[in-house]
Amino acid sequence: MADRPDFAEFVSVRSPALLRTAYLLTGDWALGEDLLQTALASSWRRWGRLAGEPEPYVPRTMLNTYLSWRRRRWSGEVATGVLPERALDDATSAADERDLVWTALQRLPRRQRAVVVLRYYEDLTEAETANLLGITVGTVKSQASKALATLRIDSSLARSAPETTDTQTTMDEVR
Amino acid sequence: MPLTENELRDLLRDRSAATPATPDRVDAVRTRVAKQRRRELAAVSGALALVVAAGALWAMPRQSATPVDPASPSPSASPSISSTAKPVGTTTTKTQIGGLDFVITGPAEITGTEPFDVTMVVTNLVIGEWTGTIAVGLASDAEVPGMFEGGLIGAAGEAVDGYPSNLGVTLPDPGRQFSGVMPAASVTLGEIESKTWTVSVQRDPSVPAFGRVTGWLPMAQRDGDAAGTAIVATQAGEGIPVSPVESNLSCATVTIGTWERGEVQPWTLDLAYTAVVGADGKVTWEEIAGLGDQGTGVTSTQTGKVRSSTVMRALGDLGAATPSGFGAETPDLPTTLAPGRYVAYSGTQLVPITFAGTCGPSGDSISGTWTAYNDRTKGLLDCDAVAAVTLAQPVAAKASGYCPKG
Repeated sequence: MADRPDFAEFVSVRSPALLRTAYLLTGDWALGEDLLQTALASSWRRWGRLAGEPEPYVPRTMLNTYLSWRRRRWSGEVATGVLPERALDDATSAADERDLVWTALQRLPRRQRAVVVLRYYEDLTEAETANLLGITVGTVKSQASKALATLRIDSSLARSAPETTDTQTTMDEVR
Repeated sequence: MPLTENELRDLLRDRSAATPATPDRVDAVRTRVAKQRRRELAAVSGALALVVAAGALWAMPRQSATPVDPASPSPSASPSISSTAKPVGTTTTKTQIGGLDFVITGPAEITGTEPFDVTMVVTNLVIGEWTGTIAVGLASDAEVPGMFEGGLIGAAGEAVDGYPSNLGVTLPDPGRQFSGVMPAASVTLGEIESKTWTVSVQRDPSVPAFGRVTGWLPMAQRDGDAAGTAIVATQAGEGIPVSPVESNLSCATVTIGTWERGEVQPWTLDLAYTAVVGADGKVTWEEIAGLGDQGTGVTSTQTGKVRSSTVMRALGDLGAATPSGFGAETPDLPTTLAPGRYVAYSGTQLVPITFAGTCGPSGDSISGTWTAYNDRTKGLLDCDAVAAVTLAQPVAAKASGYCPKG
């Protein structure tokens, strides 16, 4: 493979941020790294045609790759012998609440999760989000609205989900 | 506590803050590309080998055809029944929604929690390309009207969303809910193009039983359509008998022993839309952003392996919680209005309910706090008139803040 110094520079400068986005999309650092490398490999092959302007091609490729990855494993509730936990004190409950929201985030449909990450992590505008995802502004609005409503509801639903659905099964179920 | 947008931002930043150390990513990408190229070369080589082999076969001398005995019966075409016969135990739904024609075949009955296949043949009936999302699913009675908490089915195999999900679809009847599976994140169909998807579906084992179930229903949402226009063919679909199963949750049922209503919280404004109607009478509603996320959602400090709806239904049966489910009401947005400026709004008033009870069948104790709706409201303000009237409802007064002052 020919050397592409600008590609190496781009990876060096941008990949930490892209990895964080990939992690938020997939909920798993290793899977996020896999997603990022898949997108970078795809971009590398088209690097010559990007005319030195890989933005927003690389993030868009990463998002499209993420949206097209397919789940292979059933990931619903599983039987457990663990008894229901007791009520916790306020400080622990607050941390627990964030865990539940995080878990609920993993349960969102992928496009909604992508919209949440782009709007609330990347702080992109609705128009920028729509452009990256290749959807309309109206769809961004509706997807964000549905996602927020689901997160508010699902943080309680997540309480009944097995903890393995957060990360442990993710590597297996998404490829 | 309801989740706010800022809390969500903080959560996302905190979660992604600790980026792990990574080996040389450029090298890793180069390795990937090299592997991909090797695979492609191997595929091309294999294809060439097949072409060569096929050419060799073509070049071989062919045997002459044996004359047909005129007395022998001529072969008939495939029996026409083969194209319409269905395996025993399946049912087919044919319907058109959202500019698409759907022919969906799935099991006529659901028993147990083993995966099964549902196939849909989708044809684009609109002029030009159709791009959007599609899904197939079931409509079932909700455990609590207006509340969706996991569906009857989810994806067992390759699908966009493996979890039981309503995919953002709200059925007109709040006592019914849709749960479906999307075969792809986005589909594109050319004009009169047909594509076939088969999705592996599995029943959610946390749900012991549901009431009336009808299926198999298509969902279609074309990109660019207005918000909330995911369409489900609610009229189509035969009844699907669903056998009860044993829930895999350790707290499959809840019996409330004691409960107590806490202090009713202040009214909060959940949703508001504004519209300025011109002389031409055109009404365009625009959602007001940045309301914060006051009041919407219902949370519980209850933990353990129990469905929230199970707790809510048990409390509702005792009259402790409103059975109106989750979520703020959607304001009514009229399509015809006299020229002027308007605000449509909805609001909620929450109340915490502490409870203690027993799980079934385990007999374990369960306790927690359910933040239920005490009341909900919605209304429409005419900004030209609102300043002159006294607004009895605090949430309406809050909404009036979006009318121009003076």
